[in-house]
Amino acid sequence: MTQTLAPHDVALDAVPEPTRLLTGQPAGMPGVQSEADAPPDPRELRDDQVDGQELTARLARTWGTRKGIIGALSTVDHKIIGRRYIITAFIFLFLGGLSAVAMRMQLARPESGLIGPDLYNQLFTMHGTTMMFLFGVPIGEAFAVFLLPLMLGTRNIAFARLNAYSYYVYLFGGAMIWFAFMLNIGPDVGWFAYVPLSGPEFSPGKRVDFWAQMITFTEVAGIAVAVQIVVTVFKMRAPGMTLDRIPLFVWAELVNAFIIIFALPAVVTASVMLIMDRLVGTHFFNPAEGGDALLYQHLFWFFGHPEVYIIFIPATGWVSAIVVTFSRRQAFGYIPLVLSMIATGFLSFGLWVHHMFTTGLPQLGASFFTASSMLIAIPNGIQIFCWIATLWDGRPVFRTPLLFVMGFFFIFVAGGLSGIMLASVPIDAQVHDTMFVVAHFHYVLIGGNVFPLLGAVYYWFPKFTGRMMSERLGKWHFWLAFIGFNITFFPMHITGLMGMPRRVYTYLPEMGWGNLNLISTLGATMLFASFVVFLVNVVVSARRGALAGPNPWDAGTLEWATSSPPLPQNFDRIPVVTNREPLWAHRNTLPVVAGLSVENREVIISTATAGRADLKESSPEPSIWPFLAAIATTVTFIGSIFTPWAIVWGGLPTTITLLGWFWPKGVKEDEA
Amino acid sequence: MTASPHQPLSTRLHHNVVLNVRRLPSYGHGSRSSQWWGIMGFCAAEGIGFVLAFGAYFYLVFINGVWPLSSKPPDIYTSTFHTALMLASLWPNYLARKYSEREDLLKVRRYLVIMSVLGAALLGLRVVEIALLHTKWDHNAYGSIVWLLLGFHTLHLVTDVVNTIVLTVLMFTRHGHGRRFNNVGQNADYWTFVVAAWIPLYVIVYLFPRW
Amino acid sequence: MRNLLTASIAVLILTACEREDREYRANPVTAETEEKIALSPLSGGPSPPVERRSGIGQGYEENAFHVAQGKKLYVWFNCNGCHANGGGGSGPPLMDDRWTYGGQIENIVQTIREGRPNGMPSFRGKIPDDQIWQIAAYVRSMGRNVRKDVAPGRNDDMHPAPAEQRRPPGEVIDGGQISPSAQMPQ
Repeated sequence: MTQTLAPHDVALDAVPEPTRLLTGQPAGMPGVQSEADAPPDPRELRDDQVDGQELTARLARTWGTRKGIIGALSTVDHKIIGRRYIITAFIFLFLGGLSAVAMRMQLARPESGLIGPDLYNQLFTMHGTTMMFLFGVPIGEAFAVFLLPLMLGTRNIAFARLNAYSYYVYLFGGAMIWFAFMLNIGPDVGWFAYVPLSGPEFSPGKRVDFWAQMITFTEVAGIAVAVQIVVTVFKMRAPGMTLDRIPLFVWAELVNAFIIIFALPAVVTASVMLIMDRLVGTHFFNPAEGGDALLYQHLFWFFGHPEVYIIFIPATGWVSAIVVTFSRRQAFGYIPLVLSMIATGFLSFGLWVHHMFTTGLPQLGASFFTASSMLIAIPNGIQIFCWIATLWDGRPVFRTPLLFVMGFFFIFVAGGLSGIMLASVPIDAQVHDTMFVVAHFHYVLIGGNVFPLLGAVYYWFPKFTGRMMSERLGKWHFWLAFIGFNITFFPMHITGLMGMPRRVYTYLPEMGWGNLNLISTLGATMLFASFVVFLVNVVVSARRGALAGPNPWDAGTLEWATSSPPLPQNFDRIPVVTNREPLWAHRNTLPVVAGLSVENREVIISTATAGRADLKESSPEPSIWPFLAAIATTVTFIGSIFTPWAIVWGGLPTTITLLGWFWPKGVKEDEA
Repeated sequence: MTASPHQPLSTRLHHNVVLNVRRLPSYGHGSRSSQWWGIMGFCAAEGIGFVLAFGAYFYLVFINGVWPLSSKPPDIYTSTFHTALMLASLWPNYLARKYSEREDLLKVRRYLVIMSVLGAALLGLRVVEIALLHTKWDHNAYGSIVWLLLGFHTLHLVTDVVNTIVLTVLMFTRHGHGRRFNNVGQNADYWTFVVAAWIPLYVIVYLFPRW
Repeated sequence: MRNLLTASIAVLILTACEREDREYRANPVTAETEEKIALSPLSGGPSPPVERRSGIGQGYEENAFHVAQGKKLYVWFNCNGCHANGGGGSGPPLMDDRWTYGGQIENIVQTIREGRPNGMPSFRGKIPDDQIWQIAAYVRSMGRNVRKDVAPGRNDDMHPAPAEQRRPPGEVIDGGQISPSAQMPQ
């Protein structure tokens, strides 16, 4: 197979002048000879010297992961770590779902004795905690870890070792809280762990301490991955990918990463204060010594409301990608879509007090937050209309991913409407802490995250595994999930308005809530069945699904330019981007960059806005140290539940592992 | 998900090379490098942490009215000296950064040694400072928030001082060239953040209770 | 691999944490536990006095929930009226290592239930039996004679001293000592 190495054989007038794709600036200051500007070693093989099969094989060796258990634990390949991240988040989704099914079984009839109050408290706390911290935040980041480098046309995520470390910290944190639950140390104070209930006086034992440390684990991982996402998007885009050519999914993940960076420190602050109150006797939340319980709520919801958007914004990315591909046209209103994502990000920080309407805040404050809560419906409305316009104007192909997006439209809009009801203080004061609120946020969260997510799995599964998922099972899955969901959660609006409170383990037959609850439980069974169908579909398709090929949906973004599943190097040569949907603009021949090393891990670093190639930095080699550092971190965090001195004596192994991580090992591995 | 049905190469897109990056530099200083952006990301997250802790401080002031609660304000002399030393450290820090961009190994070593010594001295002073707070974390909410603020900042101080010392050692080994200069610059930027976080903290913890 | 996982989960469940159990439904209030304890090492004969302890006390003093409940009941039944926060007032201190009638949990239960001379009233029939055990378990935690991870943290209250969990571990010298307050002036 011969390929032209000259930039002119096909008529690609969209390809810009090469001078506009390079900055061409030396690294050294004027008059200073920098080592960075030294000409490349002529002995080092570069990809303008080899081609075809040989290039593919050599790059795969350079970027590959070693075999064996040590190799698996040392890998820094974003696709392997992203795959683990996605699978782990799904396992937590299933665990959270199972705890919900257990609760529904208990609530199916009045005065049921299936689950006692203590276990029920732990179950609803584990359900909320798992869904919010172990599934909601990580799943968006997990997809970003896998897909972003592919969509941006680079070979690995920024700070690949930190990426591995983040995954292990997340995994260990999640495993810790579930093992604690199995040992009867499961937290039992709700996923928000309000003081004074979660404080030292009313929550004896270590249950809440494990919860607070789980927060630390997941937030360390969450913030680190968010930083990697931001840097990857800003600095590692393929040459020519200007800001207005970034795929919408990437925009969503970028906005999401910024929300994470700015919101997660709040919950860490709150949980650190909580655990200090519990373990070393500080008085942050002790009113008798000048503390205040509402301080916790402010800090928590300053994180907690953006959290809703941390869960929702990646979904807007999934929906955008699916809608564009299956409408067979570019997104209608790309700029409004991006701007409304950014606006949602900003507004999400101005809403937190609407979770605290019944705490007796000043009237003016409540009015302000009512207004801002209604305001955020505007950017969300713009997004919905842009997607509908894209579908309207395109030629929609109703495959399973698009079906889930349709489900998302119906459910999320319904949840948004009950949200506008709740934004008004008088209604909120009436239905606060009732099942109405439960119905509302499940419409928003399952509609706004899980349905797009399932669509995204059907959409990207061929890229992940190289095989298609079964369309027939997919349709079964969708209809079971859609109908089951509505049967489960719609009746909760009514039980809520009838006065049924949240978080009670049983109720009396005289209340008259029995039938509606039974219907909800039947719906939950159906929803459960839909996930069984999904699991079967995933497992069977991964083994025996039809081969997908690089681009089964005829989509336009760069991840479909490479094989399915992608080889370790992602691309044999880095693409040059001339269009928002590069693969639709260049159907036969892809404009690419040459000159990167074939023997060493090199990536192109581009300028933040114009996307011009600026540097060719090296990307980290595999290393076991991030795994060891994650273990040292875990020991330190868990130890600190039992004695504060663990921070001190756990600091030493952590420092040692970090030293091992960052100390340069040789010429090849000249990175940090 | 182990099956790897990679496509034969012929189904892939043909390449049309339009650009050659052979001559690009292998690293760059300041905001050209990817790591600088990473450091800025973490500074943003930690900066928000500081802002929220300051917010919590003033929330407690607002709740209580009387401030500080039943103890005298912390000792101002040590902390003012500490603050002055911190501000003074910005100069060698700036020089370390400047010479790292010029890749002047001898000067970089000199200023890194100075920064390591200064950092260790600041850590020692910090211990004295904490001893002279006139309150304990378990006395009341005032003591708790003051200890939290100082603890949080000390964590940053320790991190950066350890990092500086490791980097200093590194620059005296055979690894002290090329991209390591880049790390020196980033370490200097992080130190600037540590100092920048300290200034409002000094005003809030030491000056505010005296107003 | 899968078997290993199931086995380890089974082991985990079997060794589930006693510290964290919560018994919301107590025994019938009229029930009364019998513990045979000695108040003095003296006995009429060559062998020391016979003691028979059922061991249920362990279930109370190794359980964080019981100890925390005891901490509430200690105030609700006005124990602090005489014993203050453990430092003693008109009653003897409870956080030191001197125990006139023995410092084991069974001895403390007996003391609360039966009452003692010079002012300690009998609470038999006034406090349900398992609440007596909870209070006794809490009293044991005052001198940190229970494990650190069981002892309670601070209350949302004024701060008289570090909470029980932050006190140095105590050592109980067994029963039968005469407290200084009970000694005749020489």
